[in-house]
Amino acid sequence: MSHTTSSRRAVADGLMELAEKDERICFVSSDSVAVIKAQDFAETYPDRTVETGICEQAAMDTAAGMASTGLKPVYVTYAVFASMRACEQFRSIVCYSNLNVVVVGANGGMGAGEREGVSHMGCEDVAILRSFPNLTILIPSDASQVRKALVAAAALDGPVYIRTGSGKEPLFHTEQTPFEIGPVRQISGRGNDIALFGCGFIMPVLEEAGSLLEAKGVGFRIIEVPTIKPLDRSGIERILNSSRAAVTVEDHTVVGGLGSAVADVNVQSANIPMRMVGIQDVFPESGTAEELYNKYGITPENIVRKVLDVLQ
Amino acid sequence: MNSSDLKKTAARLRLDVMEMVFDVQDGHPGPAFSVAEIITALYFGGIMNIRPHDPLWNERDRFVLSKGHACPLHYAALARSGFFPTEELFSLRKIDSRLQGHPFMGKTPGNDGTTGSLGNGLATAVGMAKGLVIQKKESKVFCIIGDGECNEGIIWESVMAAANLNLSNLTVFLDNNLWQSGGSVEAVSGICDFQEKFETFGWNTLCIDGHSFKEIISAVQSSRPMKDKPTVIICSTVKGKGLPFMENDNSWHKRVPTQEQMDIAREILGKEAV
Ligand SMILES: [Mg+2]
Repeated sequence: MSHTTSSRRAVADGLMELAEKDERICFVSSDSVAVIKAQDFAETYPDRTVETGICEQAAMDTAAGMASTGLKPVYVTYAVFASMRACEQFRSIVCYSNLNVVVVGANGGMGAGEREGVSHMGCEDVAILRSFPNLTILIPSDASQVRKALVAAAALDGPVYIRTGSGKEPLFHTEQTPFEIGPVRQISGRGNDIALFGCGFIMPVLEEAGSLLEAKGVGFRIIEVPTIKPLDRSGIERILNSSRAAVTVEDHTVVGGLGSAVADVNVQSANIPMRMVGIQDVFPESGTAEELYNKYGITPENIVRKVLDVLQ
Repeated sequence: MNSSDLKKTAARLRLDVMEMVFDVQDGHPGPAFSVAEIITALYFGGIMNIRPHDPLWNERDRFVLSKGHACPLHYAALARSGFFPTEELFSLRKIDSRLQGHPFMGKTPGNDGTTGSLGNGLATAVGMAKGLVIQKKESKVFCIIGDGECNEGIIWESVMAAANLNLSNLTVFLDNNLWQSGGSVEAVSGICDFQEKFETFGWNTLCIDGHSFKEIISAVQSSRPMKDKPTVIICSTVKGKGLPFMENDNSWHKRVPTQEQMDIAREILGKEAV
Protein backbone atom coordinates (compact mmCIF):
# COMPACT_ATOMS: atom_id res chain seq x y z
CA MET A 1 0.00 0.00 0.00
CA SER A 2 1.69 3.18 -1.13
CA HIS A 3 0.90 6.31 0.82
CA THR A 4 -0.19 9.31 -1.16
CA THR A 5 -1.57 12.73 -0.39
CA SER A 6 -2.96 12.79 3.12
CA SER A 7 -6.72 12.65 3.61
CA ARG A 8 -6.39 15.44 6.17
CA ARG A 9 -4.39 17.64 3.87
CA ALA A 10 -7.07 16.84 1.29
CA VAL A 11 -9.59 18.75 3.42
CA ALA A 12 -7.36 21.82 3.41
CA ASP A 13 -6.83 21.43 -0.34
CA GLY A 14 -10.58 21.12 -0.88
CA LEU A 15 -11.16 24.21 1.22
CA MET A 16 -8.67 26.20 -0.87
CA GLU A 17 -10.25 24.97 -4.08
CA LEU A 18 -13.73 25.94 -2.85
CA ALA A 19 -12.74 29.28 -1.37
CA GLU A 20 -11.20 30.48 -4.62
CA LYS A 21 -14.51 30.07 -6.39
CA ASP A 22 -16.99 30.89 -3.66
CA GLU A 23 -16.50 33.67 -1.16
CA ARG A 24 -19.16 32.20 1.11
CA ILE A 25 -16.86 29.30 2.01
CA CYS A 26 -15.43 29.65 5.52
CA PHE A 27 -13.41 27.44 7.77
CA VAL A 28 -14.53 27.02 11.37
CA SER A 29 -11.86 25.73 13.69
CA SER A 30 -11.98 24.61 17.29
CA ASP A 31 -8.18 24.79 17.33
CA SER A 32 -8.31 22.45 14.32
CA VAL A 33 -5.96 24.29 11.96
CA ALA A 34 -3.15 21.85 12.63
CA VAL A 35 -5.50 18.86 12.42
CA ILE A 36 -5.92 19.33 8.67
CA LYS A 37 -2.78 21.39 8.07
CA ALA A 38 -4.94 24.35 7.08
CA GLN A 39 -2.26 26.97 7.76
CA ASP A 40 -2.32 27.94 4.08
CA PHE A 41 -6.04 28.53 4.19
CA ALA A 42 -5.81 30.50 7.42
CA GLU A 43 -3.08 32.70 5.95
CA THR A 44 -4.74 33.16 2.58
CA TYR A 45 -8.22 33.74 4.02
CA PRO A 46 -7.79 35.11 7.53
CA ASP A 47 -11.20 36.79 7.36
CA ARG A 48 -12.87 33.52 6.52
CA THR A 49 -11.09 31.46 9.15
CA VAL A 50 -13.11 31.46 12.35
CA GLU A 51 -11.28 30.18 15.39
CA THR A 52 -13.41 29.52 18.47
CA GLY A 53 -10.77 27.84 20.58
CA ILE A 54 -11.11 24.28 21.85
CA CYS A 55 -14.85 24.29 22.33
CA GLU A 56 -16.55 21.95 19.88
CA GLN A 57 -20.07 22.69 21.06
CA ALA A 58 -19.77 26.45 20.58
CA ALA A 59 -17.91 25.86 17.31
CA MET A 60 -20.75 23.72 15.94
CA ASP A 61 -23.32 26.40 16.81
CA THR A 62 -21.03 29.14 15.52
CA ALA A 63 -20.98 27.36 12.17
CA ALA A 64 -24.78 27.13 12.34
CA GLY A 65 -25.09 30.86 13.03
CA MET A 66 -22.74 31.68 10.17
CA ALA A 67 -24.70 29.46 7.81
CA SER A 68 -27.89 31.23 8.82
CA THR A 69 -26.41 34.49 7.50
CA GLY A 70 -25.80 32.90 4.10
CA LEU A 71 -22.23 31.64 4.46
CA LYS A 72 -21.07 28.09 3.83
CA PRO A 73 -18.99 27.13 6.84
CA VAL A 74 -16.90 23.99 6.94
CA TYR A 75 -16.29 22.94 10.51
CA VAL A 76 -13.42 20.55 11.08
CA THR A 77 -12.77 18.58 14.23
CA TYR A 78 -12.25 14.94 15.17
CA ALA A 79 -15.07 12.55 14.34
CA VAL A 80 -15.47 11.63 17.98
CA PHE A 81 -15.95 15.27 19.02
CA ALA A 82 -18.20 16.17 16.09
CA SER A 83 -20.52 13.27 16.81
CA MET A 84 -20.33 13.13 20.59
CA ARG A 85 -19.02 16.27 22.26
CA ALA A 86 -21.05 18.43 19.91
CA CYS A 87 -23.72 15.81 19.25
CA GLU A 88 -26.67 17.82 20.46
CA GLN A 89 -25.54 20.99 18.69
CA PHE A 90 -25.18 18.96 15.50
CA ARG A 91 -28.70 17.57 15.91
CA SER A 92 -30.76 20.33 17.46
CA ILE A 93 -29.20 23.38 15.83
CA VAL A 94 -27.49 22.33 12.59
CA CYS A 95 -29.64 19.42 11.38
CA TYR A 96 -33.00 20.49 12.80
CA SER A 97 -32.58 23.94 11.26
CA ASN A 98 -31.34 22.26 8.06
CA LEU A 99 -28.42 24.66 7.74
CA ASN A 100 -25.67 24.56 5.13
CA VAL A 101 -22.93 23.42 7.45
CA VAL A 102 -20.34 20.89 6.36
CA VAL A 103 -18.77 19.05 9.28
CA VAL A 104 -15.56 17.13 8.68
CA GLY A 105 -14.71 14.47 11.24
CA ALA A 106 -11.07 13.42 11.25
CA ASN A 107 -9.83 10.20 12.86
CA GLY A 108 -12.93 8.35 11.73
CA GLY A 109 -12.42 4.75 12.78
CA MET A 110 -9.86 2.97 14.93
CA GLY A 111 -7.32 2.73 12.12
CA ALA A 112 -7.31 6.51 11.87
CA GLY A 113 -7.11 6.94 15.62
CA GLU A 114 -4.18 4.56 15.77
CA ARG A 115 -1.86 5.18 18.70
CA GLU A 116 -4.03 8.00 20.06
CA GLY A 117 -6.35 5.45 21.61
CA VAL A 118 -10.07 5.24 22.18
CA SER A 119 -10.62 8.87 23.26
CA HIS A 120 -9.57 10.05 19.81
CA MET A 121 -11.12 7.26 17.71
CA GLY A 122 -14.43 7.93 16.02
CA CYS A 123 -15.79 4.39 16.19
CA GLU A 124 -19.46 5.27 16.67
CA ASP A 125 -19.81 8.53 14.71
CA VAL A 126 -21.76 7.05 11.82
CA ALA A 127 -24.16 5.17 14.11
CA ILE A 128 -24.99 8.32 16.02
CA LEU A 129 -25.21 10.69 13.07
CA ARG A 130 -27.22 8.30 10.87
CA SER A 131 -30.15 8.93 13.17
CA PHE A 132 -30.27 12.68 12.43
CA PRO A 133 -32.87 13.78 9.87
CA ASN A 134 -31.72 16.17 7.10
CA LEU A 135 -28.09 15.06 7.38
CA THR A 136 -26.06 13.69 4.47
CA ILE A 137 -23.20 11.41 5.53
CA LEU A 138 -20.25 10.82 3.21
CA ILE A 139 -17.48 8.30 3.77
CA PRO A 140 -14.83 8.81 1.09
CA SER A 141 -12.21 6.12 0.63
CA ASP A 142 -9.00 8.00 -0.07
CA ALA A 143 -7.45 11.47 -0.01
CA SER A 144 -8.53 12.41 -3.50
CA GLN A 145 -12.06 11.27 -2.74
CA VAL A 146 -12.08 13.31 0.46
CA ARG A 147 -11.26 16.47 -1.47
CA LYS A 148 -13.97 15.74 -4.04
CA ALA A 149 -16.48 14.82 -1.35
CA LEU A 150 -15.88 18.18 0.29
CA VAL A 151 -16.43 20.01 -2.97
CA ALA A 152 -19.62 18.02 -3.60
CA ALA A 153 -20.81 18.63 -0.03
CA ALA A 154 -20.38 22.38 -0.33
CA ALA A 155 -22.65 22.40 -3.38
CA LEU A 156 -25.38 20.52 -1.54
CA ASP A 157 -28.24 22.22 0.24
CA GLY A 158 -28.42 21.15 3.90
CA PRO A 159 -25.97 19.77 6.45
CA VAL A 160 -23.29 17.25 5.51
CA TYR A 161 -20.93 15.12 7.56
CA ILE A 162 -17.74 13.87 5.93
CA ARG A 163 -15.78 11.17 7.68
CA THR A 164 -12.07 11.34 7.13
CA GLY A 165 -9.02 9.67 8.56
CA SER A 166 -5.53 9.99 9.92
CA GLY A 167 -3.92 11.16 6.73
CA LYS A 168 -1.91 8.01 6.17
CA GLU A 169 -4.37 6.14 3.99
CA PRO A 170 -3.44 4.58 0.67
CA LEU A 171 -4.88 5.87 -2.58
CA PHE A 172 -7.76 3.59 -3.53
CA HIS A 173 -9.24 5.25 -6.59
CA THR A 174 -7.41 7.18 -9.29
CA GLU A 175 -7.03 10.94 -9.22
CA GLN A 176 -9.60 11.03 -12.01
CA THR A 177 -12.30 9.02 -10.23
CA PRO A 178 -15.22 11.30 -9.46
CA PHE A 179 -17.06 11.39 -6.14
CA GLU A 180 -20.78 11.27 -6.54
CA ILE A 181 -23.14 11.78 -3.61
CA GLY A 182 -25.77 9.07 -3.52
CA PRO A 183 -25.19 5.87 -5.49
CA VAL A 184 -23.27 2.81 -4.38
CA ARG A 185 -20.63 1.68 -6.84
CA GLN A 186 -19.33 -1.68 -7.84
CA ILE A 187 -15.57 -1.69 -7.52
CA SER A 188 -14.68 -5.12 -8.83
CA GLY A 189 -15.57 -8.78 -9.00
CA ARG A 190 -18.03 -10.90 -10.81
CA GLY A 191 -20.27 -13.69 -9.71
CA ASN A 192 -23.21 -13.82 -7.41
CA ASP A 193 -22.08 -15.88 -4.44
CA ILE A 194 -21.25 -12.99 -2.18
CA ALA A 195 -21.75 -9.24 -2.09
CA LEU A 196 -19.02 -7.47 -0.13
CA PHE A 197 -20.11 -4.02 1.03
CA GLY A 198 -17.53 -1.60 2.37
CA CYS A 199 -16.82 2.07 2.87
CA GLY A 200 -13.97 4.36 3.79
CA PHE A 201 -10.25 3.82 3.91
CA ILE A 202 -10.46 0.05 4.43
CA MET A 203 -11.69 -0.55 0.88
CA PRO A 204 -8.26 -2.02 -0.06
CA VAL A 205 -8.84 -4.74 2.55
CA LEU A 206 -11.96 -5.78 0.64
CA GLU A 207 -9.96 -5.88 -2.58
CA GLU A 208 -7.43 -8.20 -0.96
CA ALA A 209 -10.25 -10.38 0.31
CA GLY A 210 -11.58 -10.44 -3.24
CA SER A 211 -8.31 -11.83 -4.54
CA LEU A 212 -8.40 -14.59 -1.92
CA LEU A 213 -12.01 -15.41 -2.83
CA GLU A 214 -11.17 -15.52 -6.50
CA ALA A 215 -8.45 -18.04 -5.78
CA LYS A 216 -11.02 -20.16 -3.98
CA GLY A 217 -13.45 -19.92 -6.86
CA VAL A 218 -16.03 -17.91 -4.93
CA GLY A 219 -17.98 -15.45 -7.06
CA PHE A 220 -18.00 -12.00 -5.49
CA ARG A 221 -18.75 -8.36 -6.05
CA ILE A 222 -17.19 -5.52 -4.09
CA ILE A 223 -19.56 -2.63 -3.53
CA GLU A 224 -18.46 0.71 -2.13
CA VAL A 225 -21.04 2.71 -0.19
CA PRO A 226 -19.62 6.26 -0.16
CA THR A 227 -22.91 7.83 0.93
CA ILE A 228 -24.26 6.21 4.05
CA LYS A 229 -27.12 8.68 4.30
CA PRO A 230 -29.34 9.07 2.40
CA LEU A 231 -28.67 5.45 1.60
CA ASP A 232 -28.93 4.20 -1.97
CA ARG A 233 -31.55 1.67 -0.94
CA SER A 234 -32.54 0.64 -4.45
CA GLY A 235 -28.91 0.18 -5.50
CA ILE A 236 -28.21 -1.97 -2.46
CA GLU A 237 -31.46 -3.88 -2.94
CA ARG A 238 -30.48 -4.70 -6.51
CA ILE A 239 -27.15 -6.15 -5.38
CA LEU A 240 -28.74 -8.09 -2.51
CA ASN A 241 -31.43 -9.52 -4.79
CA SER A 242 -28.79 -10.91 -7.08
CA SER A 243 -26.48 -12.36 -4.41
CA ARG A 244 -26.62 -15.52 -2.29
CA ALA A 245 -25.24 -13.75 0.78
CA ALA A 246 -23.64 -10.51 1.90
CA VAL A 247 -20.78 -9.40 4.15
CA THR A 248 -20.28 -5.81 5.26
CA VAL A 249 -16.90 -4.39 6.25
CA GLU A 250 -16.36 -1.16 8.15
CA ASP A 251 -13.85 0.52 10.44
CA HIS A 252 -16.66 1.39 12.83
CA THR A 253 -18.76 -0.43 15.38
CA VAL A 254 -21.10 -2.99 13.84
CA VAL A 255 -23.81 -1.42 16.00
CA GLY A 256 -25.52 1.10 13.77
CA GLY A 257 -22.98 1.56 11.00
CA LEU A 258 -22.74 0.33 7.43
CA GLY A 259 -23.61 -3.23 8.44
CA SER A 260 -26.76 -2.11 10.17
CA ALA A 261 -27.69 0.12 7.24
CA VAL A 262 -27.33 -2.72 4.73
CA ALA A 263 -29.10 -5.13 7.07
CA ASP A 264 -31.98 -2.69 7.29
CA VAL A 265 -32.37 -2.81 3.52
CA ASN A 266 -31.86 -6.56 3.49
CA VAL A 267 -34.61 -7.43 5.96
CA GLN A 268 -37.04 -5.38 3.93
CA SER A 269 -36.04 -6.87 0.59
CA ALA A 270 -33.81 -9.79 -0.35
CA ASN A 271 -33.53 -11.32 3.10
CA ILE A 272 -30.30 -13.13 2.31
CA PRO A 273 -27.85 -14.36 4.98
CA MET A 274 -25.45 -11.65 6.16
CA ARG A 275 -22.35 -11.22 8.29
CA MET A 276 -20.73 -8.03 9.58
CA VAL A 277 -17.02 -7.35 9.83
CA GLY A 278 -16.14 -4.35 11.98
CA ILE A 279 -15.57 -3.39 15.58
CA GLN A 280 -17.61 -5.97 17.49
CA ASP A 281 -19.11 -3.76 20.19
CA VAL A 282 -15.84 -3.34 22.05
CA PHE A 283 -13.51 -0.42 22.73
CA PRO A 284 -10.27 -0.83 20.76
CA GLU A 285 -6.91 0.43 22.02
CA SER A 286 -3.70 2.14 20.95
CA GLY A 287 -1.63 0.56 18.21
CA THR A 288 -0.72 0.92 14.59
CA ALA A 289 -3.57 0.75 12.10
CA GLU A 290 -2.30 -2.59 10.87
CA GLU A 291 -2.06 -4.06 14.36
CA LEU A 292 -5.53 -2.80 15.19
CA TYR A 293 -7.07 -4.21 12.02
CA ASN A 294 -5.39 -7.55 12.72
CA LYS A 295 -6.50 -7.71 16.32
CA TYR A 296 -10.06 -6.55 15.69
CA GLY A 297 -10.69 -8.59 12.57
CA ILE A 298 -10.68 -6.11 9.73
CA THR A 299 -8.46 -8.32 7.58
CA PRO A 300 -8.83 -10.08 4.24
CA GLU A 301 -8.58 -13.42 6.03
CA ASN A 302 -11.36 -12.63 8.45
CA ILE A 303 -13.55 -11.38 5.63
CA VAL A 304 -12.97 -14.65 3.76
CA ARG A 305 -13.79 -16.60 6.92
CA LYS A 306 -17.08 -14.72 7.25
CA VAL A 307 -17.84 -15.29 3.58
CA LEU A 308 -17.28 -19.02 3.78
CA ASP A 309 -19.32 -19.14 6.99
CA VAL A 310 -22.27 -17.27 5.56
CA LEU A 311 -22.24 -19.29 2.33
CA GLN A 312 -22.54 -22.57 4.21
CA MET B 1 -43.00 54.44 20.31
CA ASN B 2 -42.75 56.58 23.42
CA SER B 3 -42.33 55.11 26.88
CA SER B 4 -46.04 55.06 27.63
CA ASP B 5 -46.85 53.23 24.39
CA LEU B 6 -44.05 50.77 25.06
CA LYS B 7 -45.55 50.07 28.48
CA LYS B 8 -48.91 49.40 26.90
CA THR B 9 -47.31 47.11 24.35
CA ALA B 10 -45.46 45.14 27.03
CA ALA B 11 -48.74 44.64 28.89
CA ARG B 12 -50.39 43.54 25.64
CA LEU B 13 -47.63 41.00 25.01
CA ARG B 14 -47.87 39.69 28.58
CA LEU B 15 -51.60 39.26 28.19
CA ASP B 16 -51.03 37.48 24.87
CA VAL B 17 -48.72 35.08 26.70
CA MET B 18 -51.34 34.38 29.36
CA GLU B 19 -54.02 33.80 26.73
CA MET B 20 -51.77 31.46 24.77
CA VAL B 21 -50.66 29.45 27.78
CA PHE B 22 -54.21 29.28 29.10
CA ASP B 23 -55.53 28.18 25.71
CA VAL B 24 -53.02 25.36 25.16
CA GLN B 25 -52.78 24.63 28.91
CA ASP B 26 -48.99 24.54 28.71
CA GLY B 27 -46.00 26.87 28.75
CA HIS B 28 -43.65 29.08 30.74
CA PRO B 29 -45.24 32.42 31.69
CA GLY B 30 -42.82 33.46 34.47
CA PRO B 31 -39.63 33.43 32.40
CA ALA B 32 -41.47 35.20 29.56
CA PHE B 33 -42.61 38.01 31.80
CA SER B 34 -39.11 38.92 33.00
CA VAL B 35 -38.01 39.69 29.42
CA ALA B 36 -41.17 41.51 28.33
CA GLU B 37 -39.64 44.99 28.41
CA ILE B 38 -36.43 43.86 26.71
CA ILE B 39 -38.29 42.24 23.82
CA THR B 40 -40.77 45.10 23.60
CA ALA B 41 -37.90 47.60 23.41
CA LEU B 42 -36.16 45.57 20.71
CA TYR B 43 -39.22 45.25 18.48
CA PHE B 44 -41.16 48.42 19.25
CA GLY B 45 -38.55 50.78 20.71
CA GLY B 46 -36.73 51.45 17.47
CA ILE B 47 -33.77 49.20 18.24
CA MET B 48 -34.07 46.38 15.73
CA ASN B 49 -33.85 47.06 12.03
CA ILE B 50 -36.32 44.54 10.60
CA ARG B 51 -38.98 44.22 7.92
CA PRO B 52 -41.97 42.20 9.09
CA HIS B 53 -43.21 41.83 5.51
CA ASP B 54 -39.80 40.45 4.51
CA PRO B 55 -38.67 38.26 7.43
CA LEU B 56 -35.54 36.98 5.65
CA TRP B 57 -34.38 40.42 4.50
CA ASN B 58 -30.62 40.09 4.23
CA GLU B 59 -29.73 43.34 5.95
CA ARG B 60 -31.94 42.76 8.99
CA ASP B 61 -30.75 42.75 12.57
CA ARG B 62 -30.94 39.31 14.16
CA PHE B 63 -32.53 38.31 17.42
CA VAL B 64 -31.94 35.03 19.21
CA LEU B 65 -33.93 34.11 22.29
CA SER B 66 -31.40 31.81 23.87
CA LYS B 67 -33.64 31.19 26.87
CA GLY B 68 -36.06 29.71 24.38
CA HIS B 69 -38.71 28.68 26.89
CA ALA B 70 -39.74 32.36 27.07
CA CYS B 71 -40.80 32.16 23.40
CA PRO B 72 -44.54 32.85 23.80
CA LEU B 73 -43.63 36.46 24.49
CA HIS B 74 -41.38 36.59 21.44
CA TYR B 75 -44.13 35.03 19.32
CA ALA B 76 -46.52 37.70 20.58
CA ALA B 77 -43.99 40.43 19.69
CA LEU B 78 -43.55 38.96 16.21
CA ALA B 79 -47.29 38.75 15.63
CA ARG B 80 -47.91 42.27 16.96
CA SER B 81 -45.07 43.52 14.72
CA GLY B 82 -46.82 42.03 11.72
CA PHE B 83 -44.73 38.93 10.98
CA PHE B 84 -47.84 36.74 11.12
CA PRO B 85 -51.49 37.10 12.16
CA THR B 86 -52.18 37.43 15.87
CA GLU B 87 -54.82 34.68 15.65
CA GLU B 88 -51.97 32.29 14.92
CA LEU B 89 -50.68 32.81 18.46
CA PHE B 90 -53.27 30.31 19.61
CA SER B 91 -51.57 27.58 17.63
CA LEU B 92 -48.72 27.60 20.17
CA ARG B 93 -47.54 24.08 21.02
CA LYS B 94 -50.32 22.53 18.92
CA ILE B 95 -50.02 20.05 16.08
CA ASP B 96 -49.25 21.49 12.61
CA SER B 97 -48.29 24.84 14.14
CA ARG B 98 -45.57 27.25 13.09
CA LEU B 99 -45.19 28.13 16.77
CA GLN B 100 -43.28 25.26 18.28
CA GLY B 101 -42.99 24.74 22.03
CA HIS B 102 -39.46 26.09 21.75
CA PRO B 103 -38.18 28.39 18.98
CA PHE B 104 -37.53 26.81 15.60
CA MET B 105 -36.16 29.08 12.90
CA GLY B 106 -37.36 26.72 10.20
CA LYS B 107 -41.02 27.48 10.84
CA THR B 108 -41.69 30.81 12.51
CA PRO B 109 -41.48 33.96 10.37
CA GLY B 110 -39.15 36.44 12.05
CA ASN B 111 -37.46 33.87 14.28
CA ASP B 112 -33.74 33.74 13.54
CA GLY B 113 -32.60 31.06 15.94
CA THR B 114 -33.47 27.50 16.87
CA THR B 115 -33.21 27.41 20.63
CA GLY B 116 -34.71 25.79 23.71
CA SER B 117 -31.70 23.68 24.49
CA LEU B 118 -30.08 26.14 26.85
CA GLY B 119 -26.85 27.83 25.92
CA ASN B 120 -27.00 27.13 22.22
CA GLY B 121 -28.69 30.38 21.29
CA LEU B 122 -25.74 32.45 22.42
CA ALA B 123 -23.28 30.26 20.51
CA THR B 124 -25.48 30.54 17.41
CA ALA B 125 -25.63 34.32 17.87
CA VAL B 126 -21.83 34.39 17.96
CA GLY B 127 -21.80 32.65 14.57
CA MET B 128 -24.38 35.08 13.19
CA ALA B 129 -22.39 38.08 14.39
CA LYS B 130 -19.20 36.70 12.88
CA GLY B 131 -21.02 35.78 9.66
CA LEU B 132 -22.29 39.34 9.31
CA VAL B 133 -18.81 40.75 9.95
CA ILE B 134 -17.34 38.46 7.30
CA GLN B 135 -19.92 39.74 4.83
CA LYS B 136 -19.22 43.33 5.90
CA LYS B 137 -22.82 43.87 6.89
CA GLU B 138 -23.89 46.55 9.32
CA SER B 139 -26.57 44.33 10.85
CA LYS B 140 -26.47 43.69 14.57
CA VAL B 141 -27.22 40.60 16.59
CA PHE B 142 -29.23 40.71 19.80
CA CYS B 143 -29.52 37.77 22.12
CA ILE B 144 -31.26 37.16 25.44
CA ILE B 145 -29.79 34.64 27.85
CA GLY B 146 -31.05 33.69 31.29
CA ASP B 147 -29.09 33.71 34.51
CA GLY B 148 -29.94 30.06 35.09
CA GLU B 149 -28.87 29.40 31.53
CA CYS B 150 -25.41 30.60 32.51
CA ASN B 151 -24.95 27.25 34.26
CA GLU B 152 -24.30 25.83 30.80
CA GLY B 153 -20.68 25.39 29.78
CA ILE B 154 -21.40 26.44 26.22
CA ILE B 155 -22.35 29.92 27.48
CA TRP B 156 -18.79 30.43 28.67
CA GLU B 157 -17.33 28.85 25.55
CA SER B 158 -19.31 31.42 23.61
CA VAL B 159 -18.35 34.27 25.91
CA MET B 160 -14.70 33.41 25.35
CA ALA B 161 -15.09 33.06 21.58
CA ALA B 162 -17.13 36.25 21.13
CA ALA B 163 -14.52 38.33 22.92
CA ASN B 164 -11.65 36.79 21.00
CA LEU B 165 -13.50 37.33 17.72
CA ASN B 166 -14.03 41.01 18.63
CA LEU B 167 -17.74 40.85 17.93
CA SER B 168 -18.78 44.43 18.55
CA ASN B 169 -22.02 43.80 16.62
CA LEU B 170 -23.22 41.37 19.31
CA THR B 171 -25.32 42.63 22.21
CA VAL B 172 -26.47 40.17 24.84
CA PHE B 173 -29.15 40.85 27.42
CA LEU B 174 -28.70 38.77 30.54
CA ASP B 175 -32.08 38.31 32.18
CA ASN B 176 -30.92 38.33 35.78
CA ASN B 177 -34.19 37.37 37.48
CA LEU B 178 -32.36 35.34 40.14
CA TRP B 179 -34.41 32.20 39.49
CA GLN B 180 -33.93 29.08 37.46
CA SER B 181 -36.21 26.13 36.86
CA GLY B 182 -35.57 24.34 40.13
CA GLY B 183 -35.15 27.23 42.53
CA SER B 184 -33.07 30.32 43.13
CA VAL B 185 -29.94 30.66 41.04
CA GLU B 186 -28.01 31.13 44.25
CA ALA B 187 -29.25 27.86 45.74
CA VAL B 188 -29.20 25.67 42.66
CA SER B 189 -25.98 26.68 40.95
CA GLY B 190 -24.42 29.49 42.96
CA ILE B 191 -23.41 31.41 39.85
CA CYS B 192 -23.13 35.15 40.52
CA ASP B 193 -21.07 38.27 39.76
CA PHE B 194 -21.93 38.23 36.10
CA GLN B 195 -20.44 41.64 35.42
CA GLU B 196 -17.07 40.60 36.77
CA LYS B 197 -17.14 37.35 34.82
CA PHE B 198 -17.98 38.98 31.49
CA GLU B 199 -15.47 41.76 32.05
CA THR B 200 -12.73 39.27 32.80
CA PHE B 201 -13.47 37.63 29.46
CA GLY B 202 -13.09 41.02 27.77
CA TRP B 203 -16.69 42.10 27.27
CA ASN B 204 -18.17 45.55 27.50
CA THR B 205 -20.62 45.32 30.40
CA LEU B 206 -23.57 47.40 31.56
CA CYS B 207 -25.98 46.86 34.44
CA ILE B 208 -29.53 48.18 34.20
CA ASP B 209 -33.08 47.77 35.39
CA GLY B 210 -34.44 45.29 32.84
CA HIS B 211 -37.97 46.63 33.20
CA SER B 212 -37.07 50.26 32.40
CA PHE B 213 -37.48 51.13 28.74
CA LYS B 214 -35.38 54.23 29.23
CA GLU B 215 -32.49 52.21 30.61
CA ILE B 216 -32.78 49.41 28.04
CA ILE B 217 -32.80 51.81 25.09
CA SER B 218 -30.01 54.01 26.41
CA ALA B 219 -27.89 50.94 27.24
CA VAL B 220 -28.20 49.73 23.65
CA GLN B 221 -27.34 53.18 22.36
CA SER B 222 -24.36 53.60 24.63
CA SER B 223 -23.01 50.17 23.67
CA ARG B 224 -22.99 51.02 19.98
CA PRO B 225 -19.77 53.00 19.89
CA MET B 226 -17.90 50.09 21.50
CA LYS B 227 -15.19 48.93 19.18
CA ASP B 228 -13.97 45.36 19.03
CA LYS B 229 -15.93 44.18 22.04
CA PRO B 230 -19.21 42.37 22.44
CA THR B 231 -21.59 43.94 24.93
CA VAL B 232 -23.57 42.32 27.71
CA ILE B 233 -26.37 44.27 29.33
CA ILE B 234 -27.02 42.67 32.67
CA CYS B 235 -30.69 43.27 33.35
CA SER B 236 -31.98 43.20 36.85
CA THR B 237 -35.45 41.69 36.42
CA VAL B 238 -38.32 40.10 38.30
CA LYS B 239 -39.51 36.67 37.27
CA GLY B 240 -43.24 36.89 36.60
CA LYS B 241 -43.08 40.71 36.50
CA GLY B 242 -46.43 42.30 35.71
CA LEU B 243 -48.85 40.15 37.68
CA PRO B 244 -48.64 40.37 41.48
CA PHE B 245 -49.59 36.73 41.99
CA MET B 246 -46.81 35.65 39.69
CA GLU B 247 -43.92 37.90 40.69
CA ASN B 248 -41.02 36.05 42.27
CA ASP B 249 -43.14 32.93 42.64
CA ASN B 250 -40.98 30.39 40.87
CA SER B 251 -43.84 27.93 40.54
CA TRP B 252 -44.74 30.09 37.51
CA HIS B 253 -41.59 28.94 35.75
CA LYS B 254 -43.91 26.49 34.03
CA ARG B 255 -47.51 26.72 35.08
CA VAL B 256 -50.97 27.21 33.65
CA PRO B 257 -53.25 29.89 35.12
CA THR B 258 -56.66 29.00 36.53
CA GLN B 259 -59.80 30.70 35.24
CA GLU B 260 -59.73 33.02 38.26
CA GLN B 261 -56.09 33.92 37.62
CA MET B 262 -56.92 34.57 33.97
CA ASP B 263 -59.66 36.93 35.04
CA ILE B 264 -57.18 38.85 37.19
CA ALA B 265 -54.61 38.87 34.39
CA ARG B 266 -57.15 40.22 31.90
CA GLU B 267 -58.22 42.84 34.41
CA ILE B 268 -54.71 44.08 35.24
CA LEU B 269 -52.92 43.65 31.92
CA GLY B 270 -55.96 44.49 29.84
CA LYS B 271 -56.22 47.82 31.57
CA GLU B 272 -52.52 48.56 31.14
CA ALA B 273 -52.58 47.63 27.49
CA VAL B 274 -54.92 50.42 26.46
MG1 LIG C 1 -33.57 33.11 35.57
